[in-house]
Amino acid sequence: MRKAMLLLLLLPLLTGCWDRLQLRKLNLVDVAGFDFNDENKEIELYYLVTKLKSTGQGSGEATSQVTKLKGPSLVETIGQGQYTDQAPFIGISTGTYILSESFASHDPVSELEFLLQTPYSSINIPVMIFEGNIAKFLETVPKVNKEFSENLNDFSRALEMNRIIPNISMMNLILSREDTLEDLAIPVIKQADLGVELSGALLFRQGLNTETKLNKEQVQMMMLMKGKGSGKQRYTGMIGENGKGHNSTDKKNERNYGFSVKKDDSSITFTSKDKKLQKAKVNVHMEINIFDLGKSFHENKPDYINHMEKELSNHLKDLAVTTIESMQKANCDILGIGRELKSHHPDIWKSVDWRKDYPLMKIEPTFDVQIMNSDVE
Amino acid sequence: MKADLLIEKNEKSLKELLFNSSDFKFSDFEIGNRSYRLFYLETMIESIKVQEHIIRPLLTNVNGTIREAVSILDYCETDQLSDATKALVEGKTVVQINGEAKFYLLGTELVKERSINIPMNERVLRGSHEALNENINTNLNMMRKLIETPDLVIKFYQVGRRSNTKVAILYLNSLVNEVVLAEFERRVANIDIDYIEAPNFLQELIEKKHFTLFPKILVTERPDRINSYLMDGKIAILTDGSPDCLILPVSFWAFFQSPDDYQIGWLIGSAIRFLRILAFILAFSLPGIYVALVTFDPRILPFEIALTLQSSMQYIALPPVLEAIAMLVILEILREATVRLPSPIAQTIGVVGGIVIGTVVVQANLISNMMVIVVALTGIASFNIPSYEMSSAARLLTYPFILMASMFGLIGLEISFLLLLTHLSRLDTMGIPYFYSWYSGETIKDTLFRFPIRSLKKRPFESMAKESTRIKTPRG
Amino acid sequence: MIHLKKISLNQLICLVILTQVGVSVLEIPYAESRHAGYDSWMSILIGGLLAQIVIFIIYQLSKRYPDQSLQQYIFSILGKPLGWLVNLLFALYCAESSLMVVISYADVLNRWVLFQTPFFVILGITLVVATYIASSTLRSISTITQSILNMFLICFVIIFISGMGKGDWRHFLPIGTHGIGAIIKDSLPAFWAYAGYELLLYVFPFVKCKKKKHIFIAMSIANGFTTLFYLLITIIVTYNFSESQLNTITEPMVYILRKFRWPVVQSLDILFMTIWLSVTTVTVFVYMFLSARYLAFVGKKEIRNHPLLVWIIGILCFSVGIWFSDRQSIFKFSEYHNKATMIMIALVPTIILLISYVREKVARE
Repeated sequence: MRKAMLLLLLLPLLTGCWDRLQLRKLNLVDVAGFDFNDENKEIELYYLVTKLKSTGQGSGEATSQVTKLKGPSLVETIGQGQYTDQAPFIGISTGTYILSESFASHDPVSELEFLLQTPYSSINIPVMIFEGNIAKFLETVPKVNKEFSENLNDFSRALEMNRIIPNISMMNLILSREDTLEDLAIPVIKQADLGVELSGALLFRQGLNTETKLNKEQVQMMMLMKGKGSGKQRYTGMIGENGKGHNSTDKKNERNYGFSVKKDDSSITFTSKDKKLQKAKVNVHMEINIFDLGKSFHENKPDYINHMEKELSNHLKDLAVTTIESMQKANCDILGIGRELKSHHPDIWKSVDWRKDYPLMKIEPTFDVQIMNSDVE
Repeated sequence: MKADLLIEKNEKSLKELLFNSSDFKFSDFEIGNRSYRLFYLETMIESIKVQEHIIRPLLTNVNGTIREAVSILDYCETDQLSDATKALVEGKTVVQINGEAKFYLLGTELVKERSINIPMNERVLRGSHEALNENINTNLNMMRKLIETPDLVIKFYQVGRRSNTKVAILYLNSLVNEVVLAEFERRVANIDIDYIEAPNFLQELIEKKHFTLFPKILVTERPDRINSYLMDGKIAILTDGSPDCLILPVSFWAFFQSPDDYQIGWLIGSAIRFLRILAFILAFSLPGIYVALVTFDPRILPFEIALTLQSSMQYIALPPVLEAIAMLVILEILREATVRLPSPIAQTIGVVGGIVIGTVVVQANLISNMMVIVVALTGIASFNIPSYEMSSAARLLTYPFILMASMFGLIGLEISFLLLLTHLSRLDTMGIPYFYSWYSGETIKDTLFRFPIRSLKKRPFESMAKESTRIKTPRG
Repeated sequence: MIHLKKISLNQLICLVILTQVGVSVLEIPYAESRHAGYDSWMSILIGGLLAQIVIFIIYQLSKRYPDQSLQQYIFSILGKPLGWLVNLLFALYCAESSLMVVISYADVLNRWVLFQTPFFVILGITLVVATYIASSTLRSISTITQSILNMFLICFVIIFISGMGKGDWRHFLPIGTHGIGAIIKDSLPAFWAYAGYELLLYVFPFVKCKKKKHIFIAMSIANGFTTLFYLLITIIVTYNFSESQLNTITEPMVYILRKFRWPVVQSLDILFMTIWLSVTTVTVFVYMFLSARYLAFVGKKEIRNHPLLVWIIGILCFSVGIWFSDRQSIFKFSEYHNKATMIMIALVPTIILLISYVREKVARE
């Protein structure tokens, strides 16, 4: 025992203590924003550092500070950080990464790749794309809104929890480049007063920006078709008299609908002939709790319920068709059709050149809606 | 030296042998044609016994021998001066008839002892509230009353050249392991020292040289605990003048057992036992974990906690390591002070020490309030352990853990754990291993958890008892 | 004085499991998926089967001399000079194994947990602790190992909770398309990951059991548990990453462990690697202990001073290990070591067993 203690004590006495990362000297980065300046082709990096002041007795005031760094590439920009301030910037507990649209369109994955190997980096943080001028946003809003970073972080996690759109972590984004079948839809936010709101999703194909956005309705459709739509969120909209969307001219005959999904199953089936793919069908079976059907609820009769089920199915199908069209135009397979094909029908997969064939494929969505909470006997 | 015929000469020799102690007294009386002289140490005898059972019968019984007259149980005859001196010092009365070169040693010891009280350091909720006191005969009486079988063997030894302290060894003959017993008796017989003060002198003299913080012999002052350990096949040692009893051979897990566990139902008993061991681990590792997290690996903390910790440490002058060590030392100072305080002041100083120091030191920006919480929790957790020696060991262990944590972070803590584990596994008492893992074989039933009494069928492994089955048919 | 020398079956199982599981937990199944891709879980299973076969061979060999360990009965099979050579080879192999494990894990720590601490400091600390533990008796070592099994189970739970979550079962499908040849080819790198059962060659006479067959059952249980563990890791990794993604990540477990996020603790990879240090240290000190025991029988008389031998081996390992601080040399060393493992663990006991059969036949005639 004595020998071991002596030897152990010798080692550090000879040299020193390395690797110290004292908590009270760290700048904890809350939100990191990446921007690409088109004029001088430089990357701009915004660190939002949060500190709690005057804590005690269960209270505390959060203050945030934004630091801006510039450089030709992201790695070098981060390296600049050590020249500007004494305390090291540590992105260890970053809440969210925000990429600007211009950054996202200039091959972001190659810039961000180094994060996988860097020490102290946090790679499981959600990534979001910002629509608008990120520089002005990050320089003005946090100063005015003290709770900005906390709200932003809670918002990004709530997106996943409420099943509005799943979180894409930095690791997923970087690794998506390796796989042909990993296409992502990254949430897009824009400024709303002193906060942010979701404005849709940006489609990425294998780590490359497709410059195609889905709007909020299409994002909802995408979630329903993926089978992840069940949850707290509510689907609302308008149906025209004959099942047309609210583009119909006859506004007086439109009805509101509102429902929440209890169960959402989606499966993808393929029909093929001679080992060649003919078409893919996305079958969605939903059990919903409806709370607004236009007419007052207690007047509903059974055949009305059935009629509404069919109308809702058709309406959702139309919306889905437009969503799939935009996805195919962008050559982005969010629904996972390719993976399904590869796993279950490997022989058909061999005859398909996925990246070429996907935009031309026939994909047919079908919806089967069942209203669970009707009052009528 | 032989006794002399004449009383005067004997008196002189005895006085010289006792170096002219002032309490050496004698009293004469003449009855018939004999003159008796009683020699005694007036501080040691019980005067009533001498008056009623020696002087009065002698006064009435004129011509008989002393044996026929006196009604004292402890009767001995000798003609050696050294025996007479020894008997005088023990509190016996020495009678001599003038003209006879013989001493009669009659037992008239005065016994003054503290009454049997509740235990000072080992209180329980359920179970007996008797404790041992300083008189070895009373203690042995309590033990014999609990185990009224001839199987309980008591052996006396005199230990200490100058103090001649009486030491008693107890064991159950049908259970104890002979090899261990023989080895142990050999060691006690070989003690060669001026005087011993139980329990610790005995403890250190019996054990082999082993540089360790951990206690290897259990000390207790409750007869019911001694009873249960004797029933396990262990050996108990009682010393005259000390209310503490030593039990050996014990294992590491015995220090976490308390009579409470067995008296309350087994589910609750298991939960509390588990809590105690958790408290032990917390007691030595919590400050280390805190220091490691805050100095080395804040990456493990989620953002909100990191922010809160950072803000609490913002304006503190000292680095976390020094904060931790300073607070722990203050805790030890407080604890030591409360032991020595006279009872009227104890309450007040407790309040002053705890609340005032705790609050003021935070307000003066010397120590962060997280650190005060951590250290307070550590201190309280260490007092959860039933054995005082073990809890002191746990508190002292904290310091090397903090040092290792501050040098290498969580890795340093891990290395310290490993070293602690190794150290524990290498310890042994008389060849019997001190530490064994909590789930090896039968021991799982009484270490981290306590299984129902019906399933505790075997005796614990470390007592190496001759017969290890306890229960034959638990239910009828 | 009572001196206990025998270990129980429970302790044997813990020893074998913890010696088998080592550094490779972070790298599985990268090496096994070079050819087999997402069918690497089958390669892992086959690796476990191979290990089971070798365990059977070793058990048969040990059963013929139930009261002596390999160092002692090798002389009656092969004669003095060859026996010394075999003992020396085994001693060198065990020392090399422990060196391999220590260097790999020190390198892992240097890259993920302690970034600036110099390599020799991490190496030094681990070696000092391992040498100290290895210089105790077999009984102390088994007690320590039993307690470390608790930490292993904590790590097991950590892996399980961080692994489940977002992933895709379709990464496994279609099953088996890579072909048997590729799967078998990929089970060979796993052989080193399963090595650890050769301690039975030494430990056999010291196990307290009613029937010798129980030892075989215990070893099989231990091997089965390790196989299950590796299988679980492979399944978790394949669930989380698809095959082409796996091609770029050499240490997939680290990224998976980082995924988990709790209000109280996040970034479990640091916590995991810290606790895992104990498990790799078990492998290191068991091999050092074995090496010293083999070394004690090289020479005319058995060398009794066990701690001295262990410290000599420890210092040697340290002086060799300092030269291996870059990853390239570690890769080369581990490839060479994999081959050495196959020879020493699989071939040599088989040869010895055959020779002993032959000798027995000759003696009967």
